[in-house]
Amino acid sequence: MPKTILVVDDAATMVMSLKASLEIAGFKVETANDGVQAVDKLKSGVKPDLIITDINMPNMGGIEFIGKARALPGMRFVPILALTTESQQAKRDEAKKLGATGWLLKPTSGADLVKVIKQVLPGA
Amino acid sequence: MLERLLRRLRDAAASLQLPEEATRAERLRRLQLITAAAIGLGTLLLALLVSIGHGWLQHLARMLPLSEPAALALGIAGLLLATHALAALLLFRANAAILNREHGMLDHQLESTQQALSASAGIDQALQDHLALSVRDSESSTLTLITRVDQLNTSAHKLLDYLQHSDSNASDMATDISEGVDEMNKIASFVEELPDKIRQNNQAVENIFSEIQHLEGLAGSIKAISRQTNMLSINAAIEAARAGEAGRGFAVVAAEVRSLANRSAEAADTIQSGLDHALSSVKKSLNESDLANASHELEQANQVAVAFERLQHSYEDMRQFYKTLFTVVTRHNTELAEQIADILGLLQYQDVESQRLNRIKDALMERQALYLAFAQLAASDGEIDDRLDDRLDDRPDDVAEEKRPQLSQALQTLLEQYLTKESMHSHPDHATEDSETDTGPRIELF
Repeated sequence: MPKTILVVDDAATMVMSLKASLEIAGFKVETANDGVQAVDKLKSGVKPDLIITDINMPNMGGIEFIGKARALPGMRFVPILALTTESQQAKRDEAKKLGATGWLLKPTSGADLVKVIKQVLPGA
Repeated sequence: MLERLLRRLRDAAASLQLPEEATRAERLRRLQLITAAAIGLGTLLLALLVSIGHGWLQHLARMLPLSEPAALALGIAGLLLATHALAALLLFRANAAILNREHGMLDHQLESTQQALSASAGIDQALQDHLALSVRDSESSTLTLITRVDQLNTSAHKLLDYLQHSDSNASDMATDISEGVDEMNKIASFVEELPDKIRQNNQAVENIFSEIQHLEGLAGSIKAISRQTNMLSINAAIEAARAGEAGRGFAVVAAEVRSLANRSAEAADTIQSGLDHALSSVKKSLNESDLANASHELEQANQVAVAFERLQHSYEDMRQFYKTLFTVVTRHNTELAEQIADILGLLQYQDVESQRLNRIKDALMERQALYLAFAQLAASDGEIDDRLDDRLDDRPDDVAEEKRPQLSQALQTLLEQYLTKESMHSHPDHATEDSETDTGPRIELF
Protein backbone atom coordinates (compact mmCIF):
# COMPACT_ATOMS: atom_id res chain seq x y z
CA MET A 1 0.00 0.00 0.00
CA PRO A 2 1.75 3.21 -1.14
CA LYS A 3 2.03 6.10 1.31
CA THR A 4 -0.04 9.19 0.48
CA ILE A 5 1.51 12.65 0.36
CA LEU A 6 -0.49 15.90 0.21
CA VAL A 7 1.29 18.60 -1.83
CA VAL A 8 0.14 22.19 -1.20
CA ASP A 9 1.49 24.93 -3.50
CA ASP A 10 -0.02 27.77 -5.52
CA ALA A 11 2.48 27.32 -8.37
CA ALA A 12 1.17 24.82 -10.93
CA THR A 13 4.76 23.95 -11.95
CA MET A 14 5.63 23.01 -8.37
CA VAL A 15 2.50 20.91 -7.91
CA MET A 16 3.03 19.03 -11.17
CA SER A 17 6.78 18.50 -10.77
CA LEU A 18 6.43 17.34 -7.16
CA LYS A 19 3.53 15.05 -8.07
CA ALA A 20 5.46 13.41 -10.92
CA SER A 21 8.66 13.18 -8.87
CA LEU A 22 6.93 11.61 -5.86
CA GLU A 23 4.91 9.21 -7.99
CA ILE A 24 8.13 7.96 -9.58
CA ALA A 25 9.40 7.34 -6.05
CA GLY A 26 6.31 5.20 -5.43
CA PHE A 27 4.07 7.55 -3.46
CA LYS A 28 0.41 8.37 -4.02
CA VAL A 29 -0.02 12.13 -4.33
CA GLU A 30 -2.94 14.43 -3.48
CA THR A 31 -2.70 18.14 -4.38
CA ALA A 32 -4.11 21.49 -3.24
CA ASN A 33 -3.43 25.03 -4.52
CA ASP A 34 -3.56 26.85 -1.17
CA GLY A 35 -4.15 26.38 2.53
CA VAL A 36 -7.94 26.66 2.24
CA GLN A 37 -8.15 23.89 -0.35
CA ALA A 38 -5.78 21.74 1.68
CA VAL A 39 -7.84 22.10 4.88
CA ASP A 40 -10.99 21.26 2.89
CA LYS A 41 -9.32 18.11 1.56
CA LEU A 42 -8.28 17.04 5.05
CA LYS A 43 -11.79 17.65 6.33
CA SER A 44 -13.32 15.74 3.40
CA GLY A 45 -11.56 12.55 4.43
CA VAL A 46 -8.16 12.64 2.71
CA LYS A 47 -5.73 11.09 5.20
CA PRO A 48 -2.19 11.81 4.05
CA ASP A 49 0.82 10.12 5.62
CA LEU A 50 2.85 13.31 5.05
CA ILE A 51 2.23 16.91 3.93
CA ILE A 52 4.54 19.14 1.87
CA THR A 53 3.45 22.77 1.86
CA ASP A 54 4.59 26.08 0.40
CA ILE A 55 4.64 29.09 2.75
CA ASN A 56 3.72 32.11 0.63
CA MET A 57 0.33 31.34 -0.89
CA PRO A 58 -2.88 33.32 -1.54
CA ASN A 59 -6.04 32.85 0.56
CA MET A 60 -4.25 30.90 3.31
CA GLY A 61 -0.47 30.78 3.65
CA GLY A 62 1.58 27.78 4.76
CA ILE A 63 2.16 28.95 8.34
CA GLU A 64 -1.55 29.37 9.02
CA PHE A 65 -2.28 26.07 7.26
CA ILE A 66 0.18 24.18 9.47
CA GLY A 67 -1.59 25.51 12.57
CA LYS A 68 -5.04 24.62 11.23
CA ALA A 69 -3.96 21.18 10.00
CA ARG A 70 -2.46 20.28 13.39
CA ALA A 71 -5.76 21.13 15.07
CA LEU A 72 -7.67 18.63 12.91
CA PRO A 73 -8.40 15.18 14.35
CA GLY A 74 -5.84 12.53 13.43
CA MET A 75 -3.33 15.10 12.16
CA ARG A 76 -1.33 15.59 15.33
CA PHE A 77 1.58 13.33 14.38
CA VAL A 78 1.48 13.54 10.56
CA PRO A 79 4.84 14.98 9.39
CA ILE A 80 4.52 18.41 7.72
CA LEU A 81 7.42 19.72 5.64
CA ALA A 82 7.61 23.33 4.45
CA LEU A 83 9.09 23.67 0.95
CA THR A 84 9.58 27.36 0.19
CA THR A 85 11.90 30.12 -1.02
CA GLU A 86 11.34 31.90 2.30
CA SER A 87 14.54 31.79 4.35
CA GLN A 88 13.76 34.05 7.33
CA GLN A 89 14.60 32.49 10.68
CA ALA A 90 11.54 34.15 12.23
CA LYS A 91 9.22 32.28 9.87
CA ARG A 92 11.08 29.01 10.46
CA ASP A 93 10.62 29.48 14.20
CA GLU A 94 6.94 30.28 13.77
CA ALA A 95 6.38 27.18 11.63
CA LYS A 96 8.26 25.04 14.14
CA LYS A 97 6.15 26.43 16.96
CA LEU A 98 2.96 25.58 15.09
CA GLY A 99 4.09 21.98 14.52
CA ALA A 100 6.09 21.84 11.27
CA THR A 101 8.44 18.86 11.03
CA GLY A 102 11.03 20.40 8.75
CA TRP A 103 11.98 23.32 6.51
CA LEU A 104 13.30 22.87 2.97
CA LEU A 105 14.39 25.68 0.68
CA LYS A 106 13.44 25.58 -3.00
CA PRO A 107 14.84 24.19 -5.14
CA THR A 108 15.36 20.80 -3.46
CA SER A 109 16.37 17.90 -5.71
CA GLY A 110 14.12 14.87 -6.02
CA ALA A 111 16.74 12.65 -4.35
CA ASP A 112 17.14 15.02 -1.38
CA LEU A 113 13.39 15.33 -1.00
CA VAL A 114 12.87 11.55 -0.99
CA LYS A 115 15.75 11.20 1.50
CA VAL A 116 14.09 13.66 3.88
CA ILE A 117 10.69 11.99 3.41
CA LYS A 118 12.20 8.61 4.35
CA GLN A 119 13.74 10.19 7.42
CA VAL A 120 10.46 11.59 8.72
CA LEU A 121 8.13 8.86 7.39
CA PRO A 122 9.15 5.42 8.68
CA GLY A 123 8.38 2.61 6.24
CA ALA A 124 8.25 4.90 3.22
CA MET B 1 35.21 110.99 -29.60
CA LEU B 2 31.89 110.39 -27.86
CA GLU B 3 31.02 107.94 -30.59
CA ARG B 4 34.24 106.04 -29.96
CA LEU B 5 33.55 105.99 -26.21
CA LEU B 6 30.08 104.57 -26.77
CA ARG B 7 31.44 101.87 -29.09
CA ARG B 8 33.96 100.87 -26.44
CA LEU B 9 31.25 100.74 -23.84
CA ARG B 10 29.18 98.47 -26.15
CA ASP B 11 32.20 96.23 -26.67
CA ALA B 12 32.77 96.08 -22.92
CA ALA B 13 29.09 95.27 -22.36
CA ALA B 14 29.27 92.61 -25.04
CA SER B 15 32.30 91.10 -23.31
CA LEU B 16 30.19 90.81 -20.21
CA GLN B 17 27.54 88.73 -22.03
CA LEU B 18 27.30 85.22 -20.62
CA PRO B 19 26.55 82.08 -22.54
CA GLU B 20 23.09 80.53 -22.21
CA GLU B 21 24.36 77.71 -20.06
CA ALA B 22 25.88 80.07 -17.40
CA THR B 23 24.80 79.37 -13.83
CA ARG B 24 22.83 81.71 -11.66
CA ALA B 25 25.85 82.38 -9.42
CA GLU B 26 27.95 83.38 -12.42
CA ARG B 27 25.23 85.70 -13.63
CA LEU B 28 24.88 87.32 -10.20
CA ARG B 29 28.66 87.77 -9.96
CA ARG B 30 28.67 89.49 -13.35
CA LEU B 31 25.75 91.67 -12.27
CA GLN B 32 27.64 92.73 -9.16
CA LEU B 33 30.65 93.66 -11.30
CA ILE B 34 28.47 95.65 -13.67
CA THR B 35 26.80 97.38 -10.69
CA ALA B 36 30.17 98.30 -9.17
CA ALA B 37 31.39 99.56 -12.54
CA ALA B 38 28.21 101.57 -13.06
CA ILE B 39 28.54 103.16 -9.60
CA GLY B 40 32.19 104.02 -10.23
CA LEU B 41 31.34 105.44 -13.64
CA GLY B 42 28.44 107.40 -12.13
CA THR B 43 30.74 108.87 -9.47
CA LEU B 44 33.25 109.99 -12.11
CA LEU B 45 30.44 111.40 -14.21
CA LEU B 46 29.15 113.27 -11.14
CA ALA B 47 32.57 114.74 -10.42
CA LEU B 48 32.89 115.75 -14.07
CA LEU B 49 29.47 117.36 -14.15
CA VAL B 50 30.14 119.24 -10.89
CA SER B 51 33.44 120.45 -12.30
CA ILE B 52 31.87 121.47 -15.66
CA GLY B 53 28.67 122.88 -14.14
CA HIS B 54 30.35 124.89 -11.34
CA GLY B 55 29.76 128.22 -13.19
CA TRP B 56 26.16 127.31 -13.97
CA LEU B 57 25.60 126.51 -10.26
CA GLN B 58 27.03 129.89 -9.22
CA HIS B 59 24.68 131.51 -11.74
CA LEU B 60 21.79 129.50 -10.37
CA ALA B 61 22.70 130.54 -6.80
CA ARG B 62 22.63 134.15 -7.78
CA MET B 63 19.28 133.79 -9.45
CA LEU B 64 17.72 131.88 -6.56
CA PRO B 65 17.73 133.19 -3.03
CA LEU B 66 20.27 130.53 -2.06
CA SER B 67 23.81 130.61 -0.88
CA GLU B 68 26.38 129.21 -3.22
CA PRO B 69 27.18 126.11 -1.07
CA ALA B 70 23.51 125.30 -0.78
CA ALA B 71 23.08 125.56 -4.51
CA LEU B 72 26.16 123.36 -4.93
CA ALA B 73 24.80 120.78 -2.51
CA LEU B 74 21.42 120.88 -4.19
CA GLY B 75 23.02 120.36 -7.57
CA ILE B 76 25.16 117.48 -6.33
CA ALA B 77 22.16 115.89 -4.62
CA GLY B 78 20.10 116.24 -7.76
CA LEU B 79 22.80 114.72 -9.87
CA LEU B 80 23.31 111.88 -7.35
CA LEU B 81 19.60 111.22 -7.33
CA ALA B 82 19.48 111.15 -11.09
CA THR B 83 22.56 108.90 -11.48
CA HIS B 84 21.39 106.49 -8.77
CA ALA B 85 17.89 106.35 -10.19
CA LEU B 86 19.40 105.58 -13.53
CA ALA B 87 21.70 102.91 -12.00
CA ALA B 88 18.77 101.38 -10.09
CA LEU B 89 16.70 101.29 -13.24
CA LEU B 90 19.52 99.61 -15.13
CA LEU B 91 20.08 97.08 -12.31
CA PHE B 92 16.39 96.30 -12.03
CA ARG B 93 16.10 95.70 -15.75
CA ALA B 94 19.26 93.57 -15.81
CA ASN B 95 18.11 91.53 -12.80
CA ALA B 96 14.67 91.08 -14.29
CA ALA B 97 16.21 89.84 -17.50
CA ILE B 98 18.36 87.36 -15.58
CA LEU B 99 15.39 86.13 -13.53
CA ASN B 100 13.25 85.79 -16.62
CA ARG B 101 15.92 83.76 -18.32
CA GLU B 102 16.35 81.58 -15.23
CA HIS B 103 12.64 81.10 -14.91
CA GLY B 104 12.47 80.02 -18.51
CA MET B 105 15.29 77.60 -17.97
CA LEU B 106 13.65 76.20 -14.86
CA ASP B 107 10.38 75.79 -16.71
CA HIS B 108 12.22 74.00 -19.46
CA GLN B 109 14.02 71.77 -16.94
CA LEU B 110 10.80 71.00 -15.14
CA GLU B 111 9.13 70.12 -18.39
CA SER B 112 12.09 67.92 -19.36
CA THR B 113 12.09 66.27 -15.95
CA GLN B 114 8.37 65.64 -16.15
CA GLN B 115 8.76 64.13 -19.60
CA ALA B 116 11.73 62.03 -18.44
CA LEU B 117 9.82 60.77 -15.40
CA SER B 118 6.76 59.98 -17.51
CA ALA B 119 8.97 58.18 -20.03
CA SER B 120 10.69 56.22 -17.22
CA ALA B 121 7.30 55.31 -15.79
CA GLY B 122 6.31 54.09 -19.26
CA ILE B 123 9.51 52.02 -19.48
CA ASP B 124 8.80 50.56 -16.04
CA GLN B 125 5.29 49.66 -17.12
CA ALA B 126 6.62 47.97 -20.27
CA LEU B 127 9.22 46.10 -18.19
CA GLN B 128 6.53 44.94 -15.76
CA ASP B 129 4.37 43.74 -18.65
CA HIS B 130 7.26 41.84 -20.21
CA LEU B 131 8.31 40.36 -16.90
CA ALA B 132 4.77 39.13 -16.33
CA LEU B 133 4.78 37.71 -19.86
CA SER B 134 8.12 36.00 -19.22
CA VAL B 135 6.81 34.46 -16.01
CA ARG B 136 3.72 33.18 -17.82
CA ASP B 137 5.78 31.84 -20.74
CA SER B 138 8.29 30.11 -18.50
CA GLU B 139 5.45 28.62 -16.44
CA SER B 140 3.73 27.36 -19.58
CA SER B 141 6.99 25.92 -20.95
CA THR B 142 7.79 24.28 -17.63
CA LEU B 143 4.34 22.69 -17.45
CA THR B 144 4.82 21.31 -20.98
CA LEU B 145 8.25 20.05 -19.99
CA ILE B 146 6.85 18.33 -16.90
CA THR B 147 4.14 16.68 -19.02
CA ARG B 148 6.74 15.46 -21.54
CA VAL B 149 9.05 14.18 -18.81
CA ASP B 150 6.13 12.39 -17.21
CA GLN B 151 5.26 10.83 -20.57
CA LEU B 152 8.89 9.78 -20.94
CA ASN B 153 8.72 8.08 -17.58
CA THR B 154 5.47 6.37 -18.54
CA SER B 155 7.04 5.16 -21.81
CA ALA B 156 10.06 3.82 -19.94
CA HIS B 157 7.77 1.91 -17.59
CA LYS B 158 5.77 0.57 -20.54
CA LEU B 159 9.00 -0.68 -22.12
CA LEU B 160 9.90 -2.42 -18.88
CA ASP B 161 6.43 -3.95 -18.63
CA TYR B 162 6.71 -5.11 -22.25
CA LEU B 163 10.06 -6.74 -21.52
CA GLN B 164 8.68 -8.41 -18.42
CA HIS B 165 5.76 -9.71 -20.49
CA SER B 166 8.19 -10.93 -23.18
CA ASP B 167 10.26 -12.67 -20.54
CA SER B 168 7.15 -14.41 -19.27
CA ASN B 169 6.20 -15.46 -22.81
CA ALA B 170 9.74 -16.70 -23.42
CA SER B 171 9.50 -18.86 -20.29
CA ASP B 172 6.28 -20.42 -21.59
CA MET B 173 7.93 -20.99 -24.96
CA ALA B 174 10.89 -22.64 -23.22
CA THR B 175 8.59 -25.20 -21.67
CA ASP B 176 6.95 -25.92 -25.06
CA ILE B 177 10.30 -26.25 -26.81
CA SER B 178 11.68 -28.49 -24.09
CA GLU B 179 8.62 -30.77 -24.30
CA GLY B 180 8.92 -30.80 -28.11
CA VAL B 181 12.58 -31.76 -27.92
CA ASP B 182 11.78 -34.63 -25.54
CA GLU B 183 9.11 -35.92 -27.89
CA MET B 184 11.44 -35.64 -30.86
CA ASN B 185 14.18 -37.46 -28.97
CA LYS B 186 11.75 -40.28 -28.27
CA ILE B 187 10.78 -40.42 -31.95
CA ALA B 188 14.43 -40.31 -32.99
CA SER B 189 15.23 -43.13 -30.60
CA PHE B 190 12.33 -45.16 -32.00
CA VAL B 191 13.41 -44.49 -35.61
CA GLU B 192 16.98 -45.38 -34.70
CA GLU B 193 15.83 -48.76 -33.42
CA LEU B 194 13.55 -49.32 -36.39
CA PRO B 195 16.12 -51.00 -38.79
CA ASP B 196 17.00 -53.59 -36.15
CA LYS B 197 13.33 -54.26 -35.61
CA ILE B 198 12.80 -54.59 -39.39
CA ARG B 199 15.75 -56.96 -39.62
CA GLN B 200 14.39 -59.01 -36.76
CA ASN B 201 10.97 -59.07 -38.43
CA ASN B 202 12.53 -60.14 -41.76
CA GLN B 203 14.44 -62.90 -40.02
CA ALA B 204 11.24 -64.12 -38.38
CA VAL B 205 9.46 -64.07 -41.74
CA GLU B 206 12.35 -65.95 -43.37
CA ASN B 207 12.13 -68.52 -40.58
CA ILE B 208 8.41 -68.82 -41.25
CA PHE B 209 9.21 -69.17 -44.97
CA SER B 210 11.64 -71.96 -44.17
CA GLU B 211 9.11 -73.62 -41.92
CA ILE B 212 6.45 -73.35 -44.62
CA GLN B 213 8.82 -74.86 -47.16
CA HIS B 214 9.46 -77.61 -44.68
CA LEU B 215 5.70 -78.05 -44.34
CA GLU B 216 5.44 -78.30 -48.14
CA GLY B 217 7.74 -81.37 -47.92
CA LEU B 218 5.43 -82.88 -45.31
CA ALA B 219 2.47 -82.32 -47.66
CA GLY B 220 4.37 -84.24 -50.38
CA SER B 221 5.06 -87.04 -47.89
CA ILE B 222 1.36 -87.17 -47.00
CA LYS B 223 0.49 -87.38 -50.68
CA ALA B 224 3.05 -90.18 -51.19
CA ILE B 225 1.66 -92.02 -48.14
CA SER B 226 -1.87 -91.60 -49.46
CA ARG B 227 -0.79 -93.00 -52.86
CA GLN B 228 0.88 -95.98 -51.22
CA THR B 229 -2.17 -96.42 -48.97
CA ASN B 230 -4.37 -96.28 -52.07
CA MET B 231 -2.20 -98.94 -53.77
CA LEU B 232 -2.30 -100.96 -50.56
CA SER B 233 -6.11 -100.69 -50.42
CA ILE B 234 -6.41 -101.84 -54.05
CA ASN B 235 -4.17 -104.83 -53.37
CA ALA B 236 -6.19 -105.57 -50.25
CA ALA B 237 -9.43 -105.44 -52.28
CA ILE B 238 -7.95 -107.83 -54.81
CA GLU B 239 -6.86 -110.23 -52.09
CA ALA B 240 -10.29 -109.91 -50.44
CA ALA B 241 -12.06 -110.83 -53.69
CA ARG B 242 -9.73 -113.86 -54.08
CA ALA B 243 -10.57 -115.02 -50.59
CA GLY B 244 -14.29 -115.01 -51.41
CA GLU B 245 -16.87 -114.92 -48.62
CA ALA B 246 -14.15 -114.92 -46.03
CA GLY B 247 -12.60 -111.83 -47.43
CA ARG B 248 -15.86 -109.80 -47.67
CA GLY B 249 -15.28 -107.90 -44.43
CA PHE B 250 -11.70 -107.31 -45.37
CA ALA B 251 -12.94 -105.87 -48.73
CA VAL B 252 -15.02 -103.30 -46.78
CA VAL B 253 -11.95 -102.28 -44.77
CA ALA B 254 -9.95 -102.03 -47.96
CA ALA B 255 -12.62 -99.73 -49.45
CA GLU B 256 -12.56 -97.48 -46.38
CA VAL B 257 -8.77 -97.40 -46.43
CA ARG B 258 -8.93 -96.42 -50.08
CA SER B 259 -11.47 -93.70 -49.32
CA LEU B 260 -9.20 -92.46 -46.51
CA ALA B 261 -6.22 -92.44 -48.86
CA ASN B 262 -8.17 -90.34 -51.35
CA ARG B 263 -9.23 -87.83 -48.65
CA SER B 264 -5.63 -87.69 -47.43
CA ALA B 265 -4.51 -86.90 -50.97
CA GLU B 266 -7.16 -84.14 -51.19
CA ALA B 267 -6.08 -82.75 -47.80
CA ALA B 268 -2.47 -82.82 -48.92
CA ASP B 269 -3.44 -80.85 -52.07
CA THR B 270 -5.32 -78.32 -49.95
CA ILE B 271 -2.31 -77.93 -47.60
CA GLN B 272 -0.02 -77.59 -50.61
CA SER B 273 -2.21 -74.88 -52.10
CA GLY B 274 -2.43 -72.99 -48.74
CA LEU B 275 1.31 -73.22 -48.22
CA ASP B 276 1.98 -71.93 -51.74
CA HIS B 277 -0.28 -68.98 -51.04
CA ALA B 278 1.44 -68.31 -47.70
CA LEU B 279 4.87 -68.49 -49.32
CA SER B 280 3.76 -66.06 -51.99
CA SER B 281 2.53 -63.60 -49.28
CA VAL B 282 5.75 -63.93 -47.25
CA LYS B 283 7.85 -63.32 -50.36
CA LYS B 284 5.83 -60.28 -51.14
CA SER B 285 6.22 -59.01 -47.56
CA LEU B 286 9.97 -59.53 -47.68
CA ASN B 287 10.18 -57.66 -50.96
CA GLU B 288 8.23 -54.69 -49.50
CA SER B 289 10.43 -54.44 -46.37
CA ASP B 290 12.88 -52.04 -47.95
CA LEU B 291 15.71 -51.23 -45.58
CA ALA B 292 16.97 -48.40 -47.81
CA ASN B 293 13.72 -46.53 -47.31
CA ALA B 294 13.93 -47.15 -43.59
CA SER B 295 17.46 -45.70 -43.55
CA HIS B 296 16.26 -42.58 -45.38
CA GLU B 297 13.46 -42.09 -42.89
CA LEU B 298 15.93 -42.63 -40.10
CA GLU B 299 18.22 -39.96 -41.51
CA GLN B 300 15.33 -37.52 -41.84
CA ALA B 301 14.24 -38.22 -38.28
CA ASN B 302 17.78 -37.63 -37.09
CA GLN B 303 17.89 -34.35 -38.98
CA VAL B 304 14.66 -33.27 -37.35
CA ALA B 305 16.09 -34.16 -33.96
CA VAL B 306 19.27 -32.21 -34.72
CA ALA B 307 17.17 -29.25 -35.88
CA PHE B 308 15.23 -29.42 -32.62
CA GLU B 309 18.45 -29.44 -30.64
CA ARG B 310 19.66 -26.42 -32.58
CA LEU B 311 16.34 -24.75 -31.91
CA GLN B 312 16.76 -25.49 -28.23
CA HIS B 313 20.27 -24.05 -28.25
CA SER B 314 19.04 -20.99 -30.15
CA TYR B 315 16.30 -20.60 -27.65
CA GLU B 316 18.78 -20.81 -24.77
CA ASP B 317 20.88 -18.12 -26.49
CA MET B 318 17.79 -15.99 -27.03
CA ARG B 319 16.73 -16.48 -23.44
CA GLN B 320 20.15 -15.46 -22.22
CA PHE B 321 20.01 -12.44 -24.50
CA TYR B 322 16.61 -11.57 -23.12
CA LYS B 323 17.88 -11.88 -19.57
CA THR B 324 20.83 -9.62 -20.34
CA LEU B 325 18.59 -7.17 -22.20
CA PHE B 326 16.11 -7.17 -19.36
CA THR B 327 18.85 -6.53 -16.80
CA VAL B 328 20.38 -3.73 -18.88
CA VAL B 329 17.04 -2.11 -19.64
CA THR B 330 16.01 -2.37 -15.99
CA ARG B 331 19.24 -0.70 -14.91
CA HIS B 332 18.87 2.03 -17.54
CA ASN B 333 15.24 2.44 -16.60
CA THR B 334 16.19 2.92 -12.96
CA GLU B 335 18.82 5.48 -13.95
CA LEU B 336 16.29 7.14 -16.25
CA ALA B 337 13.78 7.34 -13.40
CA GLU B 338 16.43 8.92 -11.16
CA GLN B 339 17.36 11.41 -13.88
CA ILE B 340 13.71 12.21 -14.49
CA ALA B 341 13.26 12.79 -10.75
CA ASP B 342 16.30 15.10 -10.84
CA ILE B 343 14.91 16.98 -13.85
CA LEU B 344 11.60 17.39 -12.04
CA GLY B 345 13.48 18.69 -9.00
CA LEU B 346 15.40 21.14 -11.17
CA LEU B 347 12.11 22.44 -12.56
CA GLN B 348 11.53 24.00 -9.12
CA TYR B 349 13.96 26.66 -10.38
CA GLN B 350 11.11 27.98 -12.50
CA ASP B 351 9.08 28.71 -9.36
CA VAL B 352 12.07 30.27 -7.60
CA GLU B 353 12.88 32.44 -10.63
CA SER B 354 9.21 33.25 -11.13
CA GLN B 355 8.98 34.55 -7.56
CA ARG B 356 12.18 36.52 -8.04
CA LEU B 357 10.83 38.10 -11.24
CA ASN B 358 7.60 38.95 -9.42
CA ARG B 359 9.59 40.73 -6.72
CA ILE B 360 11.43 42.67 -9.45
CA LYS B 361 8.06 43.47 -11.02
CA ASP B 362 6.76 44.76 -7.67
CA ALA B 363 9.85 46.95 -7.27
CA LEU B 364 9.35 48.30 -10.79
CA MET B 365 5.72 49.04 -9.96
CA GLU B 366 6.81 50.98 -6.89
CA ARG B 367 9.38 52.88 -8.93
CA GLN B 368 6.80 53.62 -11.61
CA ALA B 369 4.46 55.03 -8.96
CA LEU B 370 7.32 57.19 -7.65
CA TYR B 371 8.14 58.45 -11.14
CA LEU B 372 4.51 59.32 -11.82
CA ALA B 373 4.16 61.09 -8.47
CA PHE B 374 7.30 63.15 -9.06
CA ALA B 375 6.25 63.88 -12.64
CA GLN B 376 2.95 65.21 -11.28
CA LEU B 377 4.89 67.24 -8.74
CA ALA B 378 7.06 68.66 -11.49
CA ALA B 379 3.99 69.51 -13.57
CA SER B 380 2.14 71.25 -10.77
CA ASP B 381 5.30 72.64 -9.16
CA GLY B 382 3.35 72.39 -5.95
CA GLU B 383 3.36 70.50 -2.77
CA ILE B 384 3.74 66.74 -2.68
CA ASP B 385 0.38 65.11 -3.02
CA ASP B 386 -1.05 62.87 -0.35
CA ARG B 387 -0.35 59.74 -2.35
CA LEU B 388 3.34 60.48 -2.39
CA ASP B 389 3.28 61.30 1.30
CA ASP B 390 1.65 57.96 2.01
CA ARG B 391 4.18 56.17 -0.16
CA LEU B 392 7.04 57.74 1.66
CA ASP B 393 5.68 57.27 5.19
CA ASP B 394 7.97 54.32 5.82
CA ARG B 395 11.11 56.22 4.92
CA PRO B 396 13.81 56.79 7.50
CA ASP B 397 13.05 59.69 9.82
CA ASP B 398 15.71 61.99 8.41
CA VAL B 399 14.18 61.61 4.94
CA ALA B 400 10.52 61.65 5.98
CA GLU B 401 11.00 64.90 7.87
CA GLU B 402 11.83 66.75 4.71
CA LYS B 403 8.95 68.65 3.24
CA ARG B 404 10.12 68.05 -0.34
CA PRO B 405 11.76 64.63 -0.58
CA GLN B 406 14.24 64.14 -3.36
CA LEU B 407 13.64 61.50 -6.02
CA SER B 408 17.10 60.07 -5.47
CA GLN B 409 16.33 59.54 -1.77
CA ALA B 410 13.02 57.88 -2.58
CA LEU B 411 14.73 55.59 -5.08
CA GLN B 412 17.46 54.74 -2.58
CA THR B 413 14.81 53.77 -0.03
CA LEU B 414 13.06 51.67 -2.65
CA LEU B 415 16.35 49.91 -3.47
CA GLU B 416 16.98 49.15 0.19
CA GLN B 417 13.48 47.75 0.60
CA TYR B 418 13.91 45.57 -2.49
CA LEU B 419 17.30 44.23 -1.38
CA THR B 420 15.97 43.48 2.10
CA LYS B 421 13.03 41.57 0.66
CA GLU B 422 15.30 39.71 -1.77
CA SER B 423 17.67 38.65 1.01
CA MET B 424 14.76 36.88 2.74
CA HIS B 425 14.42 34.36 -0.08
CA SER B 426 16.56 31.45 -1.23
CA HIS B 427 18.51 31.58 -4.46
CA PRO B 428 19.16 28.68 -6.83
CA ASP B 429 22.89 29.46 -6.95
CA HIS B 430 23.27 27.86 -3.54
CA ALA B 431 21.05 24.87 -4.21
CA THR B 432 22.97 22.10 -2.45
CA GLU B 433 21.81 20.13 0.50
CA ASP B 434 24.70 21.06 2.77
CA SER B 435 24.85 24.74 1.90
CA GLU B 436 23.39 27.36 4.19
CA THR B 437 21.73 30.68 3.51
CA ASP B 438 22.34 33.74 5.63
CA THR B 439 19.40 32.77 7.79
CA GLY B 440 19.75 28.99 8.06
CA PRO B 441 20.40 25.64 6.36
CA ARG B 442 18.71 24.66 3.11
CA ILE B 443 17.27 21.53 4.74
CA GLU B 444 16.38 21.63 8.42
CA LEU B 445 14.46 19.04 10.42
CA PHE B 446 13.01 20.37 13.67
